[in-house]
Amino acid sequence: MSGLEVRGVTKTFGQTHALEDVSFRVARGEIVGLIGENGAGKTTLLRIVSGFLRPDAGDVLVDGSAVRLRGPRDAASVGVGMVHQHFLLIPELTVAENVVLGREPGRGALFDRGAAAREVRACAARFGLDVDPTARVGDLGVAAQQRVELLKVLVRGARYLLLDEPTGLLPPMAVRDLFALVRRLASEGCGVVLVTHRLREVFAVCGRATVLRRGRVSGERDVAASDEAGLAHLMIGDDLASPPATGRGGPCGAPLLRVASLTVAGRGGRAAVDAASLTVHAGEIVGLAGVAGSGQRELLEALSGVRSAVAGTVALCGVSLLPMDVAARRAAGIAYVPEDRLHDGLVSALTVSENLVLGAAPDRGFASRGWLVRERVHREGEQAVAAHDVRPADADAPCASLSGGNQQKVLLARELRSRPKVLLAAEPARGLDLLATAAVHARLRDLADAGGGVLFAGTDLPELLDVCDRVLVMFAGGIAGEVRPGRDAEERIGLLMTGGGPRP
Amino acid sequence: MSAPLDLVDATLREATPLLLATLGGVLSERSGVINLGLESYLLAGAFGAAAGTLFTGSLVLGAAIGLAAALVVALLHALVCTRTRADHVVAGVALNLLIDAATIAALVSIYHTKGASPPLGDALMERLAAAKILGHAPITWLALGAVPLVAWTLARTKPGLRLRAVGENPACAESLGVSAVRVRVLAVLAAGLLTGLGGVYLALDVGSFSKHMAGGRGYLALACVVIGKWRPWTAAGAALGFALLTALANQLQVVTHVPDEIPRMLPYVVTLVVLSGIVGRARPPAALGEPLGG
Repeated sequence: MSGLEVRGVTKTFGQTHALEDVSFRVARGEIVGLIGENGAGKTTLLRIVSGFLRPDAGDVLVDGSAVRLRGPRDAASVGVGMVHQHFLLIPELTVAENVVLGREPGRGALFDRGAAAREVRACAARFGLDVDPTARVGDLGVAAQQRVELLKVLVRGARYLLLDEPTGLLPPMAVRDLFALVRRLASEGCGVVLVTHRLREVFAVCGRATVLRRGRVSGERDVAASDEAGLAHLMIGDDLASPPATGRGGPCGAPLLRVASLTVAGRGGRAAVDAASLTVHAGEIVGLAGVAGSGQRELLEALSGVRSAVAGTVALCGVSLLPMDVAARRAAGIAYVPEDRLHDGLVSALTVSENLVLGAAPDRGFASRGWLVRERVHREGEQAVAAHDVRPADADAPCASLSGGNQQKVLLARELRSRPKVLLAAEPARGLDLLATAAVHARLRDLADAGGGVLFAGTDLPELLDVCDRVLVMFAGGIAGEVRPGRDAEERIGLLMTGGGPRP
Repeated sequence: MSAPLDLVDATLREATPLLLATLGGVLSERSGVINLGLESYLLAGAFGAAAGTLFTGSLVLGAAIGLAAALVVALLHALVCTRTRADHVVAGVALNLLIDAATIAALVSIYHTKGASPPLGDALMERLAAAKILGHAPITWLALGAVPLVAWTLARTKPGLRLRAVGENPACAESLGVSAVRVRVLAVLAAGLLTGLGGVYLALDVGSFSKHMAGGRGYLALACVVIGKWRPWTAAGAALGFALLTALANQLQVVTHVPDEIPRMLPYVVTLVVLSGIVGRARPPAALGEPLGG
């Protein structure tokens, strides 16, 4: 019987049951979607099948016979290869070096660079992948880096491909190319497992879908015979009472934040932000879309004061922000949720309470003559934990011990506590499950409903179109255009973010 | 002999142990192990060579014993840096202090002196002089030849590729079946071999072992690694440059009475300048100092 199968697999980490008695299979030539919320166990299951983890109980079977996988190399030798969500690549090495590492061509100890390049070029040509074997991986874009990851697996002759959230960072065009490749591999007899939490991707390429919820299989469906609502229900159960409202048509007030011709220096003499102009009004959520690295991060950092601007003006309610440092801007009403919450947003070794009072205005009474008032700090933590439903509800827990969603709740609690006029949020819901995402979106809407403004940078277009009043699209550091939610909005944004649309 | 030839000669004598330690440092650091222990490899190699030669009466056996001593120290260092989550900098400094004290203790227990071992004697020194090739010790030629060899190994061999891969991203290498622990242990052992040879040269060049004999050359070598941006050719160039500077300073001192501490500070000033990013950007291997596993 040909196929990759998992039977009764259980895996626990400490007290947590990551997987409980999970069975799953993919046949040759089949594309199976493995879906579920964050923490449902999708990645754990993939890591077991690809040899990175060993199950506590249960078997992995390849073409009918049980295999013992002691490492990823064992998995590769039985034809199972995994493409990681966070690429396992070495930026300093060339494409060819990355691909052949561990099975380098050449006699004896010699590494034959020419043969490696030829091998990679031949494999790339066979699958229609566009890569230059001699390029440094660090110089490549996200989509090209993913092709290198795919080549690593294909060169090793994989018959079963496990793709962990492969579309998360890709622009729409690259997603289309990836799906074309996946279909082609399936038609050539490969079995493909596509892990995702985007249901529309399941409907786009998968024939079957297996749904995980809290470490158990909650259902298995033929995609042709199911609908999004049904699969979504299997994913989240009855936890989410009502689906999020689509679109937002909130009232729009006076201009709060005016940015004109803002330019920020980037690497190598290039401008990271190139004469960008935009306005955020009271009561408005403005989206900021773009391929990763188009200047969104630098723009938000320049507005928050973390990064300095070269030229242009920024005014909050008529007061120029550029001469102010970060603390002054915070006092003036700017709040910032950075993209990398663990590195830039929170101090993970400090407790929830301590993180909440970091950067708080001196008149808030958390300190007296330079000494922290622990009681006051603790009370602040307790209140925020209760108000924002942080779990576990322990204000003295270190932030590192919280899940991503709860860390984000703490960060948002801190940034919203001072009632900012404008919130700058970069990917505030990235990596969060549906419930936590809904909570984050609700906070943004609350702020806008109360007359604040939100600038929301993100790469998930449906999310942006759902939450925002309008979406600005960045391309190569500039604002390439504006799109309002509606028909073909996604396509128009996709065109603008890849430089295809008319410049305003 | 004319003055320029004197200078070349003095430069190569200074350069031999420094070059070898620098190349050892490049291999070790490119695999991801911060190597502050080079000083201890030099000391072990020098002490082993002096004591081994005195004990066996053979230069070749003495040199082999010196290399073996350096390899034992390097193996200890490698295991601490790969099998534990110890901080590489602390491990290296601790090893230097330990070996410095151990060589002095050995001097006391074997030769009943705290300062230096007995000299090798005129017969052995004559044989050393006779072994010179084109006026230089064989180890000097080995050191010069090791520069292209290390560069070629890193760029064109499978172990070299794996070493670079582990220094940049050990998790990625592991996922492709390359054992990061194995690669790092072998890289540090190679550093022990090269640097130990430098130590052997130190003892044989002077004809005895004296305490603190490495004289900071291990740290200077690490400075060369940084100045050379972790690349063998440029790091070797830095080592040769500093050897020339030291030789010049020694000769100038005779004439001008400039304290030699002044030129000796220069390498560290240059290191600080390089690290500060004023002259180009020095990018260390991405996983330098990163413990394995967990």
